[in-house]
Amino acid sequence: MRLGKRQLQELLYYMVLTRRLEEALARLHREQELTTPLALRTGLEAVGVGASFALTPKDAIASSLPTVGTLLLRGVKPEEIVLQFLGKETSPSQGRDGLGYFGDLARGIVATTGHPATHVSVMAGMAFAYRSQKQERVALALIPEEAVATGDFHEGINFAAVQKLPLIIVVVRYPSYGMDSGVTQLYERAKAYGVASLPVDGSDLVQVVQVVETAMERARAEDGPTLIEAVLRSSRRYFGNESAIPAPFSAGAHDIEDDEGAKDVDNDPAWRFEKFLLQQDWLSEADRSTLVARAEEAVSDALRTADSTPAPKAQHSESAVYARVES
Amino acid sequence: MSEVTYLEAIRQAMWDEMERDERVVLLGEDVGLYGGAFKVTAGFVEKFGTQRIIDTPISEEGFTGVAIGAAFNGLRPIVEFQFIDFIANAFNMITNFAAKSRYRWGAGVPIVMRGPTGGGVRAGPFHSQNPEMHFVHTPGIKVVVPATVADARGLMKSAIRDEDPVLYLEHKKLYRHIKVAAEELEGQEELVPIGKAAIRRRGKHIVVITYGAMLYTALEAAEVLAGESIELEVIDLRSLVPLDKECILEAVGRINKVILLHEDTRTGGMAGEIAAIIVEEAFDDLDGPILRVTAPDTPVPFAASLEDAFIPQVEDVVRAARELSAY
Repeated sequence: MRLGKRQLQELLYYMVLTRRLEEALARLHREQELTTPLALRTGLEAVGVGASFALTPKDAIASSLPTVGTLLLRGVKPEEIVLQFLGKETSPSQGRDGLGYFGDLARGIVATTGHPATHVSVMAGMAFAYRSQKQERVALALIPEEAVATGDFHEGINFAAVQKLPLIIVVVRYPSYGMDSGVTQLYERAKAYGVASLPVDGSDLVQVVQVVETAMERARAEDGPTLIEAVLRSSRRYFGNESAIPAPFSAGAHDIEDDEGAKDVDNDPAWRFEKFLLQQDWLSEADRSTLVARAEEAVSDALRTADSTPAPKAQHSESAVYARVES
Repeated sequence: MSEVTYLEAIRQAMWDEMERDERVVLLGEDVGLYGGAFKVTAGFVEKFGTQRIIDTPISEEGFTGVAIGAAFNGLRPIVEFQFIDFIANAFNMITNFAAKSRYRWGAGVPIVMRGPTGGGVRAGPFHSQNPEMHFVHTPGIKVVVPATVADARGLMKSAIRDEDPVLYLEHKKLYRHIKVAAEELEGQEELVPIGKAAIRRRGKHIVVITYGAMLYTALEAAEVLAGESIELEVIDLRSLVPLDKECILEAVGRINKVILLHEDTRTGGMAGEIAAIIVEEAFDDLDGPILRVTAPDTPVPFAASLEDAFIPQVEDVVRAARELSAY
C-alpha cells in the first residue's frame, strides 16, 4: 500500500496518542493507588499500530500484549479505553473486565484470556470460519515471546498449518524480559510447522506495516498462515502504583516523567517514526505541534469523561452469564 | 419393526441439524474418515464434506479454541472428545475462554462439546470418567446428561440451537444397550428443553434423584423395592445446569425422603449441591436424612471386580432405601 503524507501523519498521531494515553493510565494507576496489575510498556507502538493499520476493517485481531494502539486503530475511542481501565459503569464491559481483555466482535477485536496464547487457536477458528464461509478476511494474533512456550501456541499454529488458514501470528520479542523463552530466533520455529515466517524490526512502523501486508497477500492467495517475529529495539515497563507490582515485573520499570526531555529517536518506535517524517519533509514542526496537541486533548477529554463516570452499582449480574436465564 | 439406539439418536440429531442449518460443523479426532471412535459420525464426511466434518490433530485445547473462534464468526460447531476424559486437556479453553466471553465482553459462544462418559466397560481410569462437576462449577457453561433415546435426540437438537456453550455428556454404556421402537420415538418431543427434569416413575415413599446411566439402576431398584411395598419415585435430572429446582422441590414436598444417586465420585458431586438446596429450601419437608449413593472418592478402577464395587449398583440403592424407610 502506498501511503500519502496525511496517512503517515495520521499513523504518527496514533502512536503519539497511544503513548500519551498509556502514560495517563500509568499516572492514574499511581494517583489512585490502583492495585490492578499495570501491564503497560513502551516500545509496542509500531507493532500495535502497524499491525492494526495493515488490516482492513473486516479482518479481526486479538492481542495478549498490552498496547492500546491496536484498539485505537480499530475505532475504539480513548474514553472507552480509560473507562475500561478503571472498570467504570459505562465501560464497554460494564466493569466486568479490564483493559487487557477488551473485545468487540463488531469492530473485529477478540478478547483473549489471562494466558498469553489462548487466542492463537481461537483466531485459527475465526480464519477457518472465514474460509468456510468464502469470506476474504484474515485473522491476526499478536503474542509476546513467552507465549511460544505454551501448548496453546503449538496447537493453534499446527491446526492453522494443517488447514492452511488465513492466519497471521505476530510474536513480539522484547530486548530483555524476565520470562525469556530461551530461543533467539523464533521465526525459525515456523519451519517445523511448514509455515512461512518473516523477521521484522518491531520498532519500525513502515516495516511492520509492509510485513503484515505481505502476510495478508499470502493469506488471500490461500498460501496459509505466516509467523512474523517482531524484534523491539527498546521497551520499558510503565511505573504505576509500586506496591501493586510484583517484584519480577517491576524490574526496569519506567518512570513516565523521565521520558519528556530525552527522546530516543533511534530505538523508540514513536520518536523514530517522527524523526523519519521530519527528515523526509513529510512533517513540519507546526504539523507536529498540532498533532501532539490533538493527542493531548483527546486524552484529557477521555480522562474528564472517566472522572465523571461512576463505578458499577454493586450487584450480581448473573443474567449476563448466559444468553437467557431459565427461571 | 426397526429400533433406534441411544447412539443412533445422537447421530440422527446431529445429522438432522446439519441438514437444517449449514452453519453447523463438527470437529474432533477421527470424526471424518474413520467415522468416530464409537462410529457416532459414520457417513458424515461423505455427506457433508471436509469443510463441515473436520478431522483434527490430537489437540483438545486447540480444537476447542478453533470451535470458539468459528462460533464468533457465525458457525455452530460441535466438538467431539473421543473419550470425555480428554476434556481435561481443554479445561483452560472451556472454563476461561468459552465460559467467560459473554460475561466479559458480550461475545456468545454457541458450541456443543460432547463425548462418551462413564464406566462399566472395563476401560480403566482414563476412559471411564464422569467430569461433569468441573463444568457444573464453572458459570457460563450448560451441562446436559441424556439417559433415554428421546432425550439423546431432543437434548442434542436443543444444545445445537442454544446460544451458549453446552456440554453434552453421553454415557458410552447406553450407546447400544438402550433402544426404542422407531414409531415410539416418532411421537416424542423433537426439542427437549434444557433445564427441565423428567419424572420417570411415580412413587410415594422415597424420591431418587439421579441422571445419566444411573437412571436405569434407580428404576431396577424401584422394581425390587416394589415387592417390599416401598414405592420409589425416580427423577431424571437431564440437565445439571440449569438445574430444575422446581421439579426437585415439588417432589420433596410430596415425598419427604430423598436419595441422591450418581455414578460420579462423592466429594463435591452433584448430590452434595442438591442436598444443600433441599436443606436450604425445603428443610421442613424432610422426614429423614438425605442419603447419597455415589462412587467413592477414587479414580475409576480397571479390574471388573473393582469397577463393580466402584459404580453404584442396584443393591446399594435398595440398601439405602431400606435404611431410609426406617425413619
